[in-house]
Amino acid sequence: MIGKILLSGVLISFLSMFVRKRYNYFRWILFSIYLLLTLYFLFLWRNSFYYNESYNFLSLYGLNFSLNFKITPLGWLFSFFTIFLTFLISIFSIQKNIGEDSEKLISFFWFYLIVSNIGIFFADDFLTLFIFWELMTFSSFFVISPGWIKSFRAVNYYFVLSTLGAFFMLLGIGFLYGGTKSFSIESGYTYLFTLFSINPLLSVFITITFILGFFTKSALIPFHIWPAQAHAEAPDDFSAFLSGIMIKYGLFGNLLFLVPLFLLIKNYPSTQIITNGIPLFSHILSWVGAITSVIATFLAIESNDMKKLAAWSTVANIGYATTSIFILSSYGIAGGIFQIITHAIFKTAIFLALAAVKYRTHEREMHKLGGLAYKMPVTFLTFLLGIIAAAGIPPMNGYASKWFIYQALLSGHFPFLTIAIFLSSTGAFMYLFRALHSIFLGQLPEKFDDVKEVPFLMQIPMYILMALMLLTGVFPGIILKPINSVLISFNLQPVKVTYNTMFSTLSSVDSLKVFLTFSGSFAFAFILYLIGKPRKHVEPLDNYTAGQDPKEFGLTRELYHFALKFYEPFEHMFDSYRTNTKEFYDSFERKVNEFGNFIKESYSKNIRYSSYIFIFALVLVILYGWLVW
Amino acid sequence: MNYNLPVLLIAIPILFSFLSLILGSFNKILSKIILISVIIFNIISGICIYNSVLKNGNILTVIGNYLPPFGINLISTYTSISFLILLYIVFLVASLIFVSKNDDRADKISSVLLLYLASSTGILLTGDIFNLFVFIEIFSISNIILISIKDKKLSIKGSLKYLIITSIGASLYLFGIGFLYGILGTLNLSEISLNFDNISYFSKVFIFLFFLGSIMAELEVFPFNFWISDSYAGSKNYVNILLSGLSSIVALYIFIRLFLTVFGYPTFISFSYSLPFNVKTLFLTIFGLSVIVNELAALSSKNVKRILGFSSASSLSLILLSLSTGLKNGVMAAMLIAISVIISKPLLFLSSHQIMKGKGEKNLNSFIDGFRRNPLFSILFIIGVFTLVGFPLTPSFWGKFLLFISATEKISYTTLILVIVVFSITIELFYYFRLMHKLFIKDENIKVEKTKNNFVYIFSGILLASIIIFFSVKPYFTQNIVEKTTEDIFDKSGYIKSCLKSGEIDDR
Amino acid sequence: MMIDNRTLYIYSFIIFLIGIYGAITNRNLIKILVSLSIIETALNIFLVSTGYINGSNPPILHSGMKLISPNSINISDPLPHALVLTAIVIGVGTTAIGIGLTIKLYNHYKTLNVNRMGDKDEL
Repeated sequence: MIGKILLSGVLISFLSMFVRKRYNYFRWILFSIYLLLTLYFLFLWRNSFYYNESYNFLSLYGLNFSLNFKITPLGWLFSFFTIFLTFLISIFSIQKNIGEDSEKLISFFWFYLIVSNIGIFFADDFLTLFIFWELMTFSSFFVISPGWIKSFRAVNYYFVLSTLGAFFMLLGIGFLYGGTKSFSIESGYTYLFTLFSINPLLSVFITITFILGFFTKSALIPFHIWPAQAHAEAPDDFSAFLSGIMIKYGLFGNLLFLVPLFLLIKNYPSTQIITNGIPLFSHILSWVGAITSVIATFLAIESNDMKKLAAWSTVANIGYATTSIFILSSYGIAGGIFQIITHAIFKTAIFLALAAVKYRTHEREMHKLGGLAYKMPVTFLTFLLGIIAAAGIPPMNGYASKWFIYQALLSGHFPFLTIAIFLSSTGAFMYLFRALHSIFLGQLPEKFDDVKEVPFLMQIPMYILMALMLLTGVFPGIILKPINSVLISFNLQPVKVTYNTMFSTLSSVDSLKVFLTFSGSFAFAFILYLIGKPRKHVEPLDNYTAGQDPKEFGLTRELYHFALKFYEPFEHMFDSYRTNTKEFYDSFERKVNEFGNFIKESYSKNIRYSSYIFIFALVLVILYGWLVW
Repeated sequence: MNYNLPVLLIAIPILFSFLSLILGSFNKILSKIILISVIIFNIISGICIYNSVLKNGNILTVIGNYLPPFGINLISTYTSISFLILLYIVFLVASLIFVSKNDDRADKISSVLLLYLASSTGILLTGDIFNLFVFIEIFSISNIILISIKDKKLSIKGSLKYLIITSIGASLYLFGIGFLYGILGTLNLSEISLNFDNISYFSKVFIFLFFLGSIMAELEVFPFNFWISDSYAGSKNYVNILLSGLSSIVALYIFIRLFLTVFGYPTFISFSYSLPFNVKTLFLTIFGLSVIVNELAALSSKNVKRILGFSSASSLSLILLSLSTGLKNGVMAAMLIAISVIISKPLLFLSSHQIMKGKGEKNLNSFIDGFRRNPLFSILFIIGVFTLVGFPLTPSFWGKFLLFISATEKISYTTLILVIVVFSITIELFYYFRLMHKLFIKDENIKVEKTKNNFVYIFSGILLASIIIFFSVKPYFTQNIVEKTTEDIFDKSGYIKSCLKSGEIDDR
Repeated sequence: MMIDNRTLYIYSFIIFLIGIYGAITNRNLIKILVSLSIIETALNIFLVSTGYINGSNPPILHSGMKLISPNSINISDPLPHALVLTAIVIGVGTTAIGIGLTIKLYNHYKTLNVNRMGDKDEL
């Protein structure tokens, strides 16, 4: 059945190519229908774990090539929420592509992203995983940059880093294949575990190749620069997919391969260094996550482009999840997965809200926007709930997941990691408030006076996302119960949880009570608002000029919109600590180019030069012969 | 079995290359007709020989009734004859393109082309080491002339560089022959390979290094590859096709014959060398470095032809790298990558030429908006790129896969191959995707005019693409060919026996 | 004076090195080509000397020649001579083409100095 779903995705994608350009939105309707069907089947499989499927294609050169799929609890959970969120995004996209002559290729390649999405999450062996991983990389290349010169520069980073990562992964797979003569993931990590005591250097190398493969995809340090470039330049609705879903593949890879490996080391600590109850390797990786989240938070505070800000925020959130996962306790892994899912939900909401703003205003720089809250109330509300969730304020879902992460860190005795996470979590308030202020509050520029709310079709996914954020925040058990079955598949103790109460070793929290408290106080404030004196709406500019005509003073509303260089004093504090990673990559690229140019020019300079090289080479070869002899 | 058709494969092109000069002086069309008909004759007789090789095994052709250790002889093995057919197809494409153009030197060029055909056939068929030298020289001379056809500074400089390199290389080769003849007293490849072990270590190393130095000049291998930079960029379209497609086959075959059959020692799954130093390490270092350097040079080039030239040099080095692992999987990988490179590189040159048609500068930016200008050749270009970089199910995918597996077979110095392969694929992907992305960039300000494609270009492009697709969708067919070729390469004693009959030297 | 094979090998190798030295250090294209010819000459000497047996007769059948057993045959090997003839012919061809190309290059640049032939703009 999995194979049929994948095949039907390919077929429908070709079918969608025949749609006329005028009825472009019909492609997106096809896309949504396909997603809905997939979702239906995924829902049917919710209890049929460990069902596997394999397709034998070829047996060539003494090797069997087959695609093997297995429904694991982890894969099912990931695929279900990713497909669901993509379905919501696709509804948004239908409206976005009405009238406007959008690119033909985006929806076409998006089908392949969904196909590879299912393939990655249900892959039972490395070969299947890698094939779909590559399909995902290539098709996303064409979606992010559908024929614009400007976005090529941005997608450069993404593409180079992901292909490099993918091929590092291939390197690791090659080594594991050499050891085990099979592509099975499970035998891969058990072999690697035994290799740790036989050949530590090689096994560390193999582990690092996998880490590079997964970390480039999930944009952890030092590969954290591509999201800000690619998310900002991608089509707006695709940014939501990129940030909400695609960045999770790396984390899925970690959970699929590295976490079981480290759990084995943790349980049978024979040769490996164990610090704080977890292997050193895993401890380092969780620090990488924490540092990523801190740095990304500072970069988010600095950015003025709203999509870049959201992209940095994504990187920070991935940092939390990574830190939490590599703690390797059952609370840590549960918290990490929970964070991944909640982040997917609220980041999709935030990006859709931003896409809606851009759909109406065609503006990306935050200081050129402002005061849109009254003009676009639904978008505003979505964004508001989204940033409340992102900042981890109860009763939204971000609170529940962050609570889990803190519990795991504290009960595992990682005080410094907790501080780092806490630091970046506090920083999240700063940039999220800034975004809210600059886009939706403050002064409305005059050119946006006639901006309207987005069409209803675009509002539907926002309503659903709002409800979802609230629902999973108040009843975290909805997500945590499937997570428990994931934990059982890792042979870990499931976390103690009911639908509305979360327990940990340190404390417990009833999120329904929290929600009721919050809504009670909110209702109280609202009642005060209703019974208070009737208010009169005054234009802010009138207020500033004390009733005189603002035009006489040369005042415009934009002048009073304080958004540009919002945190300048704060930024100056960190001036001396700033290292620009993008510059590092750029200079690296320049170096490579220079080296290539040197080679090229030394070849084509003149004829005499060539005979020098020839003789030099000859001497080298002969010397080699003499020396080794 | 004495079978004389292989002689005609060499003799007919040489005969007609002189005749085309004479007849062409009356009418240029005649020489073009001669060119095409000779190739068609060669293809048909090549297929006949292929069939009889399939039936009867290796065919020995004795010339002048001097039985093998003496005299000149041709050996058609499965490897050489299947390479030959591939070569003829690419040559047909190149010469069709040549014929479609109006050139007032058509008679002379077609004569050179026929010489080229004869010499490359000779290299693949000959069983004699001095004959090999003669054919290599004719081959490189015709290469030099072909490169310099376009009367530009760049092309003449390129061909002059090539001339200097090959003449130094040829003299090294002759030194090697002199040593071999002085020690063994024979020029027959089979007899040399039979007796090579009896030579002293000192002489072995000397001979090996001389041959290595000379052959590397032909092989486009770093650091002997500086001639490609100018000669690709400064030569005509059909010459590019010949350089990228045919030179690789020829170089590959020379490498197989000299370094696997003569110096190598096949066991059941791998080749070993009885030389005092680790030959595989040497090869790995040279070819690995060559792959990386060429890829980097391609990455930083702006001229499209130069990019493709460096890229073909690097893929040739990759083929040699996988050959020099000496493992069965590695040799199979080499064959698979070779098939895809030999067909896809001409396709890339062809389609990039058509995409850039009418643009003044042939650099990266002349690819912009190519898809709207010329959709057919853009699609062909993409097919070529996918074949080259190893998209799943193409022969090159299986090849890279097998190379991967052969590198991980035993974790040792050869595992470095993995890193090289990964590195090269990543860079290759990057610069080809950059080109492909440029194809789709829309420049709204400029009105695009559809390029008119010559019929010959369409025919040859579609021919090459359909060959690739055939190899990709019929993986078992490809596997069959590749396994047979590999078996043939590993069958050293079979090669010797087919030449010397008894497998021993008799004291005549 | 008798010259044995080894001396000939060393002579030819010295000439070879002279040729290589000339090919590297000369800036004049014609002189480079001359150096290449010198290398070829070295080769021909080497090849001929491989077939040379000390104190033997030329390989020509004449009436007074005694046919003795192959093991104590007293004529030098004729095959290298044939090889050298071929090599000379090929060398002439290569040199001719080289000179032709040099003339063309001279017409383009009006100089034979290879250092003055690099154009950056053509890269």
